[in-house]
Amino acid sequence: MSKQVLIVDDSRVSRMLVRAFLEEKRPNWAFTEASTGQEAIDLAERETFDLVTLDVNMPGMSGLAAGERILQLRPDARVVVLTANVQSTVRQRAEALGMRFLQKPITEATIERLLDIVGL
Amino acid sequence: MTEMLSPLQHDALCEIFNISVGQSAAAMSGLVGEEVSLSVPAMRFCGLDELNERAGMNHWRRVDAVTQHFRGSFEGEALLMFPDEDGIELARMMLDVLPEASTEFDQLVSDALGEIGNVLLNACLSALADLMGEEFEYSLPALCSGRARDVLEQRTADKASPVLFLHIQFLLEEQRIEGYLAFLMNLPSLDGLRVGVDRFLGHLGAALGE
Repeated sequence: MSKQVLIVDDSRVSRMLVRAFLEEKRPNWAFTEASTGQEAIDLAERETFDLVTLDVNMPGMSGLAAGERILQLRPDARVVVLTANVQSTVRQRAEALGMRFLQKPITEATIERLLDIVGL
Repeated sequence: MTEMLSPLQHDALCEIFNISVGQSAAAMSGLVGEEVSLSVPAMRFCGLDELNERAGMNHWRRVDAVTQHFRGSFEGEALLMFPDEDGIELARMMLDVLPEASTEFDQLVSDALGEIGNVLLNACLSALADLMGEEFEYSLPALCSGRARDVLEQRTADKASPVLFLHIQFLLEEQRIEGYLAFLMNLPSLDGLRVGVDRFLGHLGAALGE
């Protein structure tokens, strides 16, 4: 069944990698991209997403703040923080807010792990 | 260095750096699917000109560097530096998995280098923060290119004062790609750094039942 995915990262290469590996595993899914937290929130206000991947360190709003708002708007969405900022404190905050947490780099194995933890 | 850090603090800081860079090496290995070897970490406390010469950077024609400012109870610049064409080669390896990237390599290479820096520097800084019981705030990664001396000068707040330079070389054997991961810190940050090192040593002592 098709799922709606929102990929949020200020790096275009990172968005391309997440999309390419997910598309390979789930060719029927539909993808939307955002380069800032605010853009992601604006999209989540208008559309429903089954899965959201979020970078943490982005210009303007952090990924954690954006993820918190997206979960308020779309409580059924699976939100996965996909970041290089793997300080324990960041991981704990993400998990306390109801998000899953995965460490970059974005590789095929990382995306397989992502699909495992969200169960989609 | 001896007046700045005790021999035990010096040794502990090198070990903290070594463990932290190990996280970066693991991240890089995941990125390129190849084993990454690391040199022994080196620490220097000197001026920029001396550093440029003693660290061998004056032999590089140019450098691509990704830098990130970090701030906690001490602050500084974390740098990932690639001499000559090595950064571009690494970006090419990263983009190889994206067939559509081949037509717009020139537009994507800066983004790819920035993301490589983001992944490696954050892996290192996150491990450093956890080992020292710190929480760092980071700036976004910035890409600087040019002569090594100029890049270092751009990232140093007080150019006249000596800096603490902690660096390690990593090498992708098969591709012959080398890079340097380094921290630059000015004098005012050393007190905070010493506290962090002592905290690490305190935890180590507690773990050893001392």
